[in-house]
Amino acid sequence: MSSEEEKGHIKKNVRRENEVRRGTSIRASPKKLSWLNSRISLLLIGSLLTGILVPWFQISYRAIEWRRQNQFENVSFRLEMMRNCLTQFVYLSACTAEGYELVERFMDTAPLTHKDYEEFEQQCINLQSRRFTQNAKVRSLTIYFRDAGRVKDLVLTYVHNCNRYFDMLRTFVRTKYAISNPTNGEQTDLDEEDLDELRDKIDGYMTTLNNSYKAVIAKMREDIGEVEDESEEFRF
Amino acid sequence: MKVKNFGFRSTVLVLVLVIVLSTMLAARGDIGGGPGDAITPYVPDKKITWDDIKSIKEESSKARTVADLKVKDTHVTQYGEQVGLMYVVGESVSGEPFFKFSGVSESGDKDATDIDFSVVRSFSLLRVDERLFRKDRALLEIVKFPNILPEDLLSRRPSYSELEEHYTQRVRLWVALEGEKNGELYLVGKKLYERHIYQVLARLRDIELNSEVILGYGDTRVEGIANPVPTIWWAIDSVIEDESYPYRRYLAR
Repeated sequence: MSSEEEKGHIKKNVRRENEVRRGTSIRASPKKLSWLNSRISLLLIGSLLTGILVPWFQISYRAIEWRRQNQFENVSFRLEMMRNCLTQFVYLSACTAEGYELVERFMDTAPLTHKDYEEFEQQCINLQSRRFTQNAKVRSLTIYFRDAGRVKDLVLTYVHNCNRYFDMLRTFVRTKYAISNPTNGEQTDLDEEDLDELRDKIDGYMTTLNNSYKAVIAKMREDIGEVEDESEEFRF
Repeated sequence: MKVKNFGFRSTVLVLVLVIVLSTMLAARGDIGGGPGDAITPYVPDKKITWDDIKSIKEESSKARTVADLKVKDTHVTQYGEQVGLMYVVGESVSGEPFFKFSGVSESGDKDATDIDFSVVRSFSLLRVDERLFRKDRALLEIVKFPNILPEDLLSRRPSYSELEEHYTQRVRLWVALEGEKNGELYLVGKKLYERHIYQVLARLRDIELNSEVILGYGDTRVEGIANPVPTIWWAIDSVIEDESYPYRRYLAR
């Protein structure tokens, strides 16, 4: 190859090389953001993300979790109190049955002695005392029901009916005592017919008592069922 | 000759037997809290006529009660008085319910069957058929008690045990769950604490499957009896004299 041809060949190669260099330098990223590619900047960006975003997510999640747990505990506590109220109310209803049992033995025709009468009065006082304590327990727990006003009214109606029932029971025994012991100086024009009437009244009043009892139980159980449904919403 | 001493063992055995027997006997006694006398809507010592029974039976249809009605997907159990059935549109109850089950027997008999509430002891929802082009329907198993006509009750004078044995019948009925005007069949009644209006107790299809819904007897006022009495129309003297008659005067607890 002659020297002129060699020169031409070399110039061509150099030109081609420059073109290639020019082409690659245009495709390269701008120099402004090239620092982001560096290892140190990547480390800094990562730390920023984990240092801010992750704690924020954690705090938000804990707040939601705490609120949910708090609500669940409140609902559970309320449910427990409502169930306790129902239990205490059933115990209260046993007092009326106990009262009847105290009087039942006097419902036959045998006369009532002074000793029996005194014993009855003492037992009655004890029973009433327990009944009033139990009343208070039930009424204090009615506040936990959603429809507390209605539950309280129904309980009060039942308690009022119980009071009337106990009055009838005591009247029966006092009447029987007065009939059995006329020499005690108590003037009485009462007789066995009055006792029969009182007995029928006592037996008949059971329907009223039972209906008011059932109304309380129905309302309490309905409210308890609703709160049980609500408590299940907190389960995942 | 040795003599075996069975004295101690036999004494213990006798004591155990006595304790068990006396406990059983005591348990058979009354449950306490009431006189335990049988409850009946008929005036004592007065001859019961067909008209008396008919009148109480009519009251009985409209005076049934329900307690502990279990509904699907909820813990709330429903209580109600004067329960009936009604096709309800939306959630508002208006008008009077009907007090009978109307449907077609499962055996395929095409004639409609009506079972009045006065002869229903209980019912259970066995199945719900949701159909695309026809009205949805439900299969109910209804226990009829007592399945006896008032005139037969008066003439035969059965005891309670005889009624249980011979006059109890189980019937399966397909009942339409949807009414004419797109109403849905509901069990309605008056709440024990809100006795003045009818309210929805449960949609019939929502009652828990295979759970027995027992209908109790509500009260009515009868001339000659001071206090309200349950509408047990079949509680004539031959029935209530039976020891196994369950409706007795006790305090509820």
